[in-house]
Amino acid sequence: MFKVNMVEPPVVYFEDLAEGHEFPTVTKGPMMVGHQVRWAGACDNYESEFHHDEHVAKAAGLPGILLSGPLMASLLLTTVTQWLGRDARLVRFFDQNRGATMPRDTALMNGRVKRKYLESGKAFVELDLSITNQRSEVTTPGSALAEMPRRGG
Amino acid sequence: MTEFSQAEMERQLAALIGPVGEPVSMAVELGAVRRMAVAVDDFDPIHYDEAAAHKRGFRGIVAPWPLLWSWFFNCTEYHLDIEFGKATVHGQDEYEFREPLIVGDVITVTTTIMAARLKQGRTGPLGQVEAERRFTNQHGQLCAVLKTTLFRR
Amino acid sequence: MTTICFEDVEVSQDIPSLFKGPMTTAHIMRWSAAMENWHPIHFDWRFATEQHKLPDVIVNGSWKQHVMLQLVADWAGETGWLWKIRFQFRGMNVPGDTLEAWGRVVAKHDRHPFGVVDLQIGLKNQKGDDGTPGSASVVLPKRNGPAVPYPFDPRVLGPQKG
Repeated sequence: MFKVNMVEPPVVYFEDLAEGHEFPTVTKGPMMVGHQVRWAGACDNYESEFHHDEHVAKAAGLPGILLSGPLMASLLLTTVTQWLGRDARLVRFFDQNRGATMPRDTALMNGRVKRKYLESGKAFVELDLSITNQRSEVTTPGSALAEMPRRGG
Repeated sequence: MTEFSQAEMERQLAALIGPVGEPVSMAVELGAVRRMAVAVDDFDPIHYDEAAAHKRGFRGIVAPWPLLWSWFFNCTEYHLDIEFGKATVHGQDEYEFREPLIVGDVITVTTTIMAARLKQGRTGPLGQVEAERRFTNQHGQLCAVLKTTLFRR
Repeated sequence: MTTICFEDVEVSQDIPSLFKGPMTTAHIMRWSAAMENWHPIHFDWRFATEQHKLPDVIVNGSWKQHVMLQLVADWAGETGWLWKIRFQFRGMNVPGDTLEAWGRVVAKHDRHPFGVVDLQIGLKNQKGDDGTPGSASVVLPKRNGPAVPYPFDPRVLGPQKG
């Protein structure tokens, strides 16, 4: 069995996050075909061959293999759950598949607190998100809404 | 490639709107949860260790949200029956999260095309199709809603 | 599935071949994911060809073993037992290859009340390259003899004659 080094996420409170707070950027990659293969295996889906076959991708006029958009967005989603900690509850997540990620690209996960507010006794944070590559191009803009625990709550 | 009139393209898109196929159910498997968690770099113990998940208040081992894609690819029809254009591009995703998916749950997914419209893209006519997938568990609880926008050009 | 008795088998007889392919990258990926074997020579074309100087991404050896297991187990049928199998990886296979798993009976041993059949096996591509030579031993029931027990225990075999 593949050994996994589990990491318990930190506890983050609503009070810890100020509007405008920038989360530490998380670097993924270089993204490799292996990431795509793991993703295809996890989805049990191998249908779009340009995601894993260099020859098929080039024959379709692409510069090479493109990593799956939902894979990249899912890495961003995981990063959000790590930033917000173990007791946050992700309510909504949005991603736009704007630019391609190719094998050997680096993907930087960026996020900041856009807004925080209380509603019906619950505490929420809205995040602005993006994935940028090593050329600082935004490949995946996104956003998220999460309910946060309150300090002493 | 056959040339279609604007009216014909609009007719093809309008015909897509409505429910797609029958609801399909699939269980949340332990191995699938682990493989997806590894694929999206999520090392939170709640995805691997039942005791850790119980300690955090969950009924059992929790699936990372990207596992929704496993139902997307294996339980729903995601090809669009459109004659015009030559490629379908995965544009954006909007997730709404309600109840976690727990190992052993049986999740039923229903698919509906909510909207389909013709726009003018940079390279010509662009079909924009919004599909909604609703994921429900065996207790009748709504677990998640995934809205995906596909572009046809 | 066939039911074969020891008496039905003749030395130098060919067993029915099993055909696979043409192989695609999806076959290789699916196997890599199922095995959780993440070696990039199986799916990263640039890594395979530039760093390892391979002709292409290569078909997993464990997958090829599985095909040859399937070949012999299918032939042994529900009443026979695939007892031993060995392989050598001498040649690579790449996407586009069509593969024929083949086998030939090379020896029969009367191990009363059962029989043991030795097979030569191989996996040949469309160019005739037999890259995975091997051998196998199958335990078969005799006509009107007892069934091969499951789980199989080699101590049920009688002494080797001759």
